[in-house]
Amino acid sequence: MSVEVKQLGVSIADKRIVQNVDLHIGDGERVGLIGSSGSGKSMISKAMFGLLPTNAQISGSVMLGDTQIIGADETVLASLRGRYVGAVFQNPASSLNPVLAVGKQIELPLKLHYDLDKADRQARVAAMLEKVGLDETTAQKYPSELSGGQQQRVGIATALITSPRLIIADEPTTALDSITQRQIVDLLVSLVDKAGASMLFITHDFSVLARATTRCYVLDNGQIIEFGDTSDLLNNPQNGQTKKLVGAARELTLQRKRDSDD
Amino acid sequence: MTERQTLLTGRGISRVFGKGKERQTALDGVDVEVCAGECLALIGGSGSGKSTLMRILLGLDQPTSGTVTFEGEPVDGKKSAGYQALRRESSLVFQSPFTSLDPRWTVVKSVSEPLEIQRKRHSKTDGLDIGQKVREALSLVGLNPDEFLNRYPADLSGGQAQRVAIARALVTDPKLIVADEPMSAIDVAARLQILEAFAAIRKSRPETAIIMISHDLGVVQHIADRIVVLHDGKVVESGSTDDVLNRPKAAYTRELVEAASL
Repeated sequence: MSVEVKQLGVSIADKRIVQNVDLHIGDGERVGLIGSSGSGKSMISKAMFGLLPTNAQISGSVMLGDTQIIGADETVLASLRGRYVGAVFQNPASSLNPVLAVGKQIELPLKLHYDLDKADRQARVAAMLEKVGLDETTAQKYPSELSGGQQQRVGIATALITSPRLIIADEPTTALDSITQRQIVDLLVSLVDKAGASMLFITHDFSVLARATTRCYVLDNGQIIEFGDTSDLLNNPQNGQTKKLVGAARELTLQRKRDSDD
Repeated sequence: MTERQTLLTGRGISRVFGKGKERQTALDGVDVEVCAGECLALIGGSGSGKSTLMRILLGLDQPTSGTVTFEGEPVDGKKSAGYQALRRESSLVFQSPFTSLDPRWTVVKSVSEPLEIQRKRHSKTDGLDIGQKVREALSLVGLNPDEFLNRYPADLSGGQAQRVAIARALVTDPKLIVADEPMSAIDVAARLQILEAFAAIRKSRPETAIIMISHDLGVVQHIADRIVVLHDGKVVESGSTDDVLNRPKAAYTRELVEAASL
């Protein structure tokens, strides 16, 4: 599903949080949104879900496919969320329900959006668990019994079970260690590509950006300051603020000596 | 290996949680040692035992077997000489500055509190100009005292708040600073400033030892002299930063290094 954001502006109590944002995601495209804390990244993802705070003044347009999200009726939004638009959040420990078995959480969106019998739903949950690399016994477990990486796999399974056409992943790897980070990014990319869905990947980490996206937008102080191919942007940033961010990311990426490369 | 004095030693540290079927070995025969003036990085993924080891080394938890000594004195229960000295001579920096700083306290109150406590309990701070020490500590971490002394945590960015937490940790001139994932909650650009703050501490307090607990090799490459890699409760590798990052021996370290490189 394509996304077309035009001149999006969000203000809360007369404070401008996001302004003049234009952003395009083509059908089946993986696009990144990067910026430091407080730059307005999460506000843009909330706008796509129609989840902006009720006291926010909103201007501009957010089209998901043919549907206008800004000002849309709650029933329209409810039929999109979890069905055509899936979300993967930063902290799986707080986004999963701690008192619901994993299999039941993954099944829930199916129950809400599809007319399937129980056996059919459970078969789909089992197939989904396998796709995200968890064994079938995981369905009976509770989130607290899983590692952070396993929890995020459950988060991905829950987001993808309804075959959504757009995945919004808001810092899905920030809470994970580097090995697990890479596994989760690679898993998300392969599943999104196989499904032919589009993805908005929000992060402040340039090293995962290159693996997760082909194009990206840089946000600073609520405005898009640069956009383009992810590799161009990482190798040849134009804007001063982008240069600063990319420079910091390079500095903090492990520099290995040549002789250890093979 | 060094003529520097050994500050903190853990020998054969094991920690088992639970009994019977629930029995879990969090640490299994870990040897670790930190010398005065050294920066040691404790590296490992989630669940590797890093935090358990930290708690034991600080005397906050008792090992199932093994011993901890601080300046040659055993750290064995709250009455022990080693524990008392360790409490006096060590400070901690936590992952999230906004949960470790009191939101109702100004910067000057948070940073001077450890000195006020010392003044009450010990004679160490007799005649000491606390205001001056606080200004020095803030300057050292790159925060202008005139600008920051009277701010509240809510008026600080994540990177600034973490540097206030670091100033608070170093204001008592401790022999040991333990930092538990001090950068993982901070965005990339601000991480560099935190690294600079630690570098400044190392320069101005050459006798202070730092233990940095992290899963991020990109961060520790800039600051650590030595690295201990923990995996499933065991030390799988330890050595100089150069050796561990450029010539990793253990399969797990190789995987970590691989995942952290672009």
